[in-house]
Amino acid sequence: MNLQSWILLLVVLALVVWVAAGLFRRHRQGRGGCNCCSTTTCPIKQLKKH
Amino acid sequence: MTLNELKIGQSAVIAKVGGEGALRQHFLDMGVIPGSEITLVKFAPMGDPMQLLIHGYELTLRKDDAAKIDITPCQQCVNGTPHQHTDQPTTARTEHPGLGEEGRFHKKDEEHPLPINDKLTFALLGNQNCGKTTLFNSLTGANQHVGNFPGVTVDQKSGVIKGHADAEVVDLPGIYSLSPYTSEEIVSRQFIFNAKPQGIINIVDATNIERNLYLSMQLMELGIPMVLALNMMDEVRHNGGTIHINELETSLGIPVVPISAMKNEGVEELIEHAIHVARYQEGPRREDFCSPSEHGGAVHRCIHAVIHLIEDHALAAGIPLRFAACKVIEGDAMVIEALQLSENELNTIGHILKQLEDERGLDPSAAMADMRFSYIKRICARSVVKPVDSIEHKRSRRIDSVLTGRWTAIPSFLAFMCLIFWLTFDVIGGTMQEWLDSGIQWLTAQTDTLLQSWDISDVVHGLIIDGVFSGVGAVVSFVPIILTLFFFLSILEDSGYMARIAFVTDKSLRRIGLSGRSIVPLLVGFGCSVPSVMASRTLPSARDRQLTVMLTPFMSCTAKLPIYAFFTQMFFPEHGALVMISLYLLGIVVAIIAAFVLKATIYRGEPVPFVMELPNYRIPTAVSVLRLIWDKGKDFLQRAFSVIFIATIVVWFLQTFDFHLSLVDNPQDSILASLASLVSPIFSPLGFADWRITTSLISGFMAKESVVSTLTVLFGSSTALSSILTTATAYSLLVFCLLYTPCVATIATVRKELSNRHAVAMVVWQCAVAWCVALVVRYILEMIL
Repeated sequence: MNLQSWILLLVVLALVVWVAAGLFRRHRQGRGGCNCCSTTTCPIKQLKKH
Repeated sequence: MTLNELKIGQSAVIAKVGGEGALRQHFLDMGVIPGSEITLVKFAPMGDPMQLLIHGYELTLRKDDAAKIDITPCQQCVNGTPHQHTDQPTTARTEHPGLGEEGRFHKKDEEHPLPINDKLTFALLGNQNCGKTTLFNSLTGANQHVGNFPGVTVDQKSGVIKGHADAEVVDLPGIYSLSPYTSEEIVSRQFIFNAKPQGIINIVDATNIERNLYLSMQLMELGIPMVLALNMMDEVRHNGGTIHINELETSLGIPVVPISAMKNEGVEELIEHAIHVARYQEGPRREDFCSPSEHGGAVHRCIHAVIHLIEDHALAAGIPLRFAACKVIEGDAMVIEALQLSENELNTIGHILKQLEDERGLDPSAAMADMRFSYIKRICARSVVKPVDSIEHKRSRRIDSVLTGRWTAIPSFLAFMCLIFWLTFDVIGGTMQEWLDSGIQWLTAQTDTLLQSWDISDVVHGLIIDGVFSGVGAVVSFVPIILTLFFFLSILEDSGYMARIAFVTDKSLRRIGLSGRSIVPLLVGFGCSVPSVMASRTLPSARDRQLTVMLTPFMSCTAKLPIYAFFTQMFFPEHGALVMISLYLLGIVVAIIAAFVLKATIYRGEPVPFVMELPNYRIPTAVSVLRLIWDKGKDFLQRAFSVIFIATIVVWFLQTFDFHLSLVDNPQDSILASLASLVSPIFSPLGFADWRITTSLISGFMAKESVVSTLTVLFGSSTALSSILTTATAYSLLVFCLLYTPCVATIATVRKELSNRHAVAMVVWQCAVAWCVALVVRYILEMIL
């Protein structure tokens, strides 16, 4: 593979890692939500944490 | 005589409200109390439920439930319209009481301000469909979707009030009372008790003030600083009515601010009052609405006797005393349990309630509702000049004569549905999809040329063009169709027609064990299953909610459209519309059969009563509709460039390399082929036991749109795909895609809304149903063709 192919491959892989990290972060934030709410800033969820 | 015997146009006075438990309390909370005037407007096209006019708003009720309500004919009522009361608002000028304000009314030596850095939290509470979300958007500058259907807000949203970084407002679901009838009511009152907000912003629909103030009075009993936002005042004035704010504020003992949330009028003043009462902890000046002189003071003495009896328990449980006493009298099991009363105290309360019944001639719940509504009537008589009939209401009546008319309702509904699907899939959405598809193809060709000019290696070229561009591009081209369908669903909801659809279809849905309110989640299911599952939260019984959720995935969501369009173009180019319509209809037919099966086995019993408010029709605002389209478009594109992008890359990787991570010449030697081949035999009876199809179905679990992108990546050309499927097996595959497990986002929502058990059951149930129906369809088609 030539240099430009490697660069392009790295760009795509970086994009994949970035998107996957974003999805994982959102998944973690959404975890533990109560049955009444799906929002991550839900006050009920905050209550549950306490 | 009972309410179900009333003739159309006749009015009557309610004599007795029967029934029992939470349902009866809900009747009372909705204003169906002895002494109220009620008029029968019409029956739904199939003869049930009834549309009634009470306290100036329209309520739906089934005949079976109406049979529990005793009435006496009202001699004074003119046909169709309750008679006019002789009470007239006072003409004497009342001085502004200045509650919730600085200045001469605020005494410095009596103030107890919270520390300046303390964060203020406000609960935004009000009846359903009174403009809460519109006000929330005005207060916070947020972009929440607003509908014209009772119960649009099914989850709580919080936001910082504009210009006040230390003040946060929480938009709670719309409720009619603080009785535990629906899950929204339980959630809202639990929020007030547990989160202990510093203030309450109670939004009241000024066009229907009598019913709205019923909740306000219960909120005032909580003793929390509170401001009353009198919304839609512009509509009241426009129809020749008015509300004497000074008089109302004096009577209620809380600041009253007239606003128009939609026009953003009065919102600044509302914020100032809310922050003032919360900062200085100025609670309602009045919590006691019972009068020693009313009906011999029976209710008054009962409430105060219970207050004294439970004072220590309420303090220990952290429940406001007046509120706790009222709920004990109403028999609220949750409050009674929380108070942990001794047997002796419970016996004493029983004797007090018996005395109340004997003296008042009403049971305790009815007596409490009557006390509240009597107080509301008295203050409205002093402060409200009602328009005889609003322009909006007259307009709604005229429209309803067609849309819910006996012979026109069902044809209108079917005509609207056909029109929406035709415009979505052909005229608007279909045309725009072709344009977008051409654009994507042009972009792919340009990128291909560019990569070739850079002499990019075949592997990376394949990753970019065959992987990313083919996969993501195939899905993105369906954005116009999806947005067009959401546009029309939004119009249905915002205009108020969705509530009429529920009214019209209630009797039919009852036959399959659902209530008319279930139609909303099911219709939303044609857009996306995630909001559809969430919308089922407005259903008041767990049985109805679970049954609706289990049927929702049978409604073909827009994410499945790319699959249908892809196969239709390839296998049924001449009969595209027929195939599309047949799939949608098949989904509905299977849902009906599934409903009968579930109703006869797991979800036995009757659906909950259909007690719902019918809002006036409103012209949907462009901002609201565009906001929804923007939200849905953004959500879809985010999914396309995240989940589908990753899935495409993973599929490309797995089909390009073998287990030794060496490039494969033949995709059949790839990792993907080896893994999918393990599952493929299951699909052998259905006629598509190919590993590439199995892979695409597995990727469809991540997001339905991925099925098309995966097929495009794996098969490369349409000829390769058409060579392994016949017309019958292609249609069988489409049926399997229509019915098999919903995407992971829907399953996650089901898990949140119901339980892990339901989520797992849904995956297994849907796959089993899909496999069986696809098998039957395949053999039927093979016999015919």
